[in-house]
Amino acid sequence: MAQLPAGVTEESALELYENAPCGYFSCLPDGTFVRINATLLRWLGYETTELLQQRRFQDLLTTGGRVYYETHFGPLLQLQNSASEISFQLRRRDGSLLPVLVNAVQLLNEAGQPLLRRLTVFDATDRSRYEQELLLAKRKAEEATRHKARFASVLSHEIRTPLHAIHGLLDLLMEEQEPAKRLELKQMARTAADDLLDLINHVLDSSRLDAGLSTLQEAPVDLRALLQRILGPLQVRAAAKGLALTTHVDDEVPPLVLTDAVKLGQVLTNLVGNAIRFTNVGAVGVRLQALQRTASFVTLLVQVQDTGIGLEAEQIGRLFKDYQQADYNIQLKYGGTGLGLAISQQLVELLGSRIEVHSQPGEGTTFHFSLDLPIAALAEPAPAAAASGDLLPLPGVRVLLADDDPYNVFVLTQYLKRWQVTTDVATDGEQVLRLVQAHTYDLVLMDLQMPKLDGAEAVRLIRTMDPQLPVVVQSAQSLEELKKLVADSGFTDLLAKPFRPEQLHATISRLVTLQAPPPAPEATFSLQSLRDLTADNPPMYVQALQLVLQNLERFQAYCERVAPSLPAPGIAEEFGSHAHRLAMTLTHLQAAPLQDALAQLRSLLASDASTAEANAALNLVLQHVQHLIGELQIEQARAKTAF
Amino acid sequence: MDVFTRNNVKITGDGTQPMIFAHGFGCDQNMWRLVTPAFADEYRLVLFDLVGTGGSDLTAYSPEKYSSLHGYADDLLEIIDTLELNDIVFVGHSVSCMIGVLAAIRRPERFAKLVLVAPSPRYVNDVDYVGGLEPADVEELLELLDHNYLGWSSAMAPLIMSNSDRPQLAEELHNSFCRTHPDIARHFGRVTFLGDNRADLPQLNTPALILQCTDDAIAPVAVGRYMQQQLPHSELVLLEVSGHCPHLSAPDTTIAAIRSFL
Repeated sequence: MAQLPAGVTEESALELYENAPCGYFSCLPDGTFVRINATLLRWLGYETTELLQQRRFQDLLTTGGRVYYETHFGPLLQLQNSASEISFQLRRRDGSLLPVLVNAVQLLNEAGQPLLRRLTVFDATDRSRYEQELLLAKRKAEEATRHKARFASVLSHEIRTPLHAIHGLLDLLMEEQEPAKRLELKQMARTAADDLLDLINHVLDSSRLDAGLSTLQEAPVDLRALLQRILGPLQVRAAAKGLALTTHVDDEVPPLVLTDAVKLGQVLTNLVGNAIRFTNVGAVGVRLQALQRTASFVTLLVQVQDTGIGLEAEQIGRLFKDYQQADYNIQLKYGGTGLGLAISQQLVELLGSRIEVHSQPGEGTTFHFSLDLPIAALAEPAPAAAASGDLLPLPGVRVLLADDDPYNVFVLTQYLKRWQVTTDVATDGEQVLRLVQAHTYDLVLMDLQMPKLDGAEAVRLIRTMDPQLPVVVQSAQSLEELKKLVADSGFTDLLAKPFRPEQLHATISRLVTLQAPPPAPEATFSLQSLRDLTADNPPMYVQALQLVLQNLERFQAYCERVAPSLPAPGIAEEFGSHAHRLAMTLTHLQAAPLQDALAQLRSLLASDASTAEANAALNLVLQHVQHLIGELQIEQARAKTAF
Repeated sequence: MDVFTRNNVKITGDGTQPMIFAHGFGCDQNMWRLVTPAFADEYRLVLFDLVGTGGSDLTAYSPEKYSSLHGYADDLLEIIDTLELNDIVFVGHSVSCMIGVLAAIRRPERFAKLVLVAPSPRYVNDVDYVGGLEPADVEELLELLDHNYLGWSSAMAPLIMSNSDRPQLAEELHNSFCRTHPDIARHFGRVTFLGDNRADLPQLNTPALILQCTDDAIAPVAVGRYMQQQLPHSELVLLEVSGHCPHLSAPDTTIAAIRSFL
């Protein structure tokens, strides 16, 4: 056996006791200290003489700890003569607290009576901190689980309601023959589908906001136009309940401010929608007020007021918490997920403010918040979003649409056809590859989830065949996840479902250099004048379109009727008066090509042209008229569904 | 569920007159084991665990039922009815004293005498009342309860131990007495220490012995005096004992005091 070093063998029992890395003490059964080691004295800041036979162990405990000592620790030690890993807080001489863990044994005398207690003391400062954090995390996790359970049950109810509606409406639709009723059913089904989409978008928004992924996209915004756009659809809902929906924008509110129109719009839509939902009689008012204005900033007060059922004080307290409308019964009665308000509050916080509520039960409620916004220069008005009817055709463009969802394929091919885009369809990944090899495409529109070969893999393989071919991926995943995918696997760009047709058009236009310039460098017509005329008021706008269509259709019928008799004498004058009736309409529509064609036809008729020439000119006119009618009909249908 | 399972009722003793022992907050019927042998010959001893402690059925615990001491008093009366006990000597400790008082107020005809060891009708100080504790002390106690789940882990240990081939290890478990569940302990602690049963005291007609320890931080002497003033037929005896559990730390003194009352 090897020799142990000198310092090791000379360790005395006393030294082992006094300077142990833990505290030792002994006490009488009533707690009086009879022995304490140096380590413990040092931890507590006491001299031996201050404690030995002077004080008791329980005197060093906090009051709560003393109660625990008397009710738990003491009895346990008495009953089984030992107690382990008991947590206490000892009070040091200077009054500060030391968290400790204590092990104790009780020794008995020959008569079996308690004689002495020996205890070890471990400094549990770090462990105590860790325990606190664990306990907190445990309680938070339990709260979160309860939250999620509540959320799931509220949400499943909310999803089922519109789904049932759609289901039932479609059943009715299958039986209904009367066109007016059919239209009504379709509109109701569409509204329910919109509600469902809203709900799911809300859920996505909520989780995006929770994950801190939402950022502000600031741009110059015309607040008046924003209000008009948002309140349009809500007007109909208000009118259906017999409520007045009014807006008031102070004159001092500047024409353009720098802010995030989408987020602000979402908040307004939510607040006004709620106001309408919870008001049965009276009115809902939206007010934008300029509280303060300097050369470069405006403090904007946004207020949504209603004469609705109102809220109790404690309901207001719970209002902005997720998934909890002020009262579970209200949620059942009035519908609409409580998620909206919680998200609105988060959005307004992102914008740098907080929504406040004032309410009088039975009289009404006001929601308001104020924003400090930079005033934007007039020089850069925000470009209005083009309606799909306005979009330029993209002739000669050849697109491969890779998607196995028949509905999605149907919708997209309709739009692409309208834009004169040649479209091939592939329904699985392998077919995509075969078609790309066999034909030339200007762009591939790829869905990520497809059978036989998933989108990501397909793109990688396409890249090996043609590194330059633009591949746009369409997916329902979150934007942030997709952006990363774009960078990694060679997609050119992405479109997040559900996307608007304008977005698809813009993407194609951007990525594909058009082979031949479109036949008409300017648009064949414009709806801007009509929109301005009707101040974007949807019912009026639809009516205006109807009048224009009637004019055009009447003219079309006349042209067809008169075609065989061209170029008879006297026709010129008759034709002229019909064309004259159309002049105002065409000016409003800025339909230059048609105006040119008409002018040409009139001059031909006036100058004794041949039958062939006259017919050719008339055919051109008819072509333009037909095209115009077709486009306007689509626009009218779109405008009708917008509210 | 029968009371035996629910409250882990144990009956011993050779006598006829029933003597019920009710333990206090923090432990179980084992607390009485140094005292009960002294009365085994002359009385019929009935021991039980309050629901949520010791060997009682934890599944029988409901926060609503036990949100006040009346839930526990109901259980006690159920035990008395099931066992058809009369002429009862009730020995309670700490919070069980008030449980016994409530039960005796409701069924005075069943009870002969009450022995109240370190009782208190209200633990937190009030205007013109010394209870001994402040609300912050109670909160601290509840925090400590979360940090110290006595016996809770040991309740799991037998499951683990049974797989080993050393069964004697299962008996060497630490902290196997005074078992409880942390959530129940927390709730019971709240009910006990934040309760106020002072108004019930004058309604008790049964003769009562109050045993108060002279150095008890939880139920100080002032509380003993208060109880003696409020209970119509009561006697206060001060025990020169430090701490809150004289039946554990000074069993002989306690036995003597009880005997001279009975």
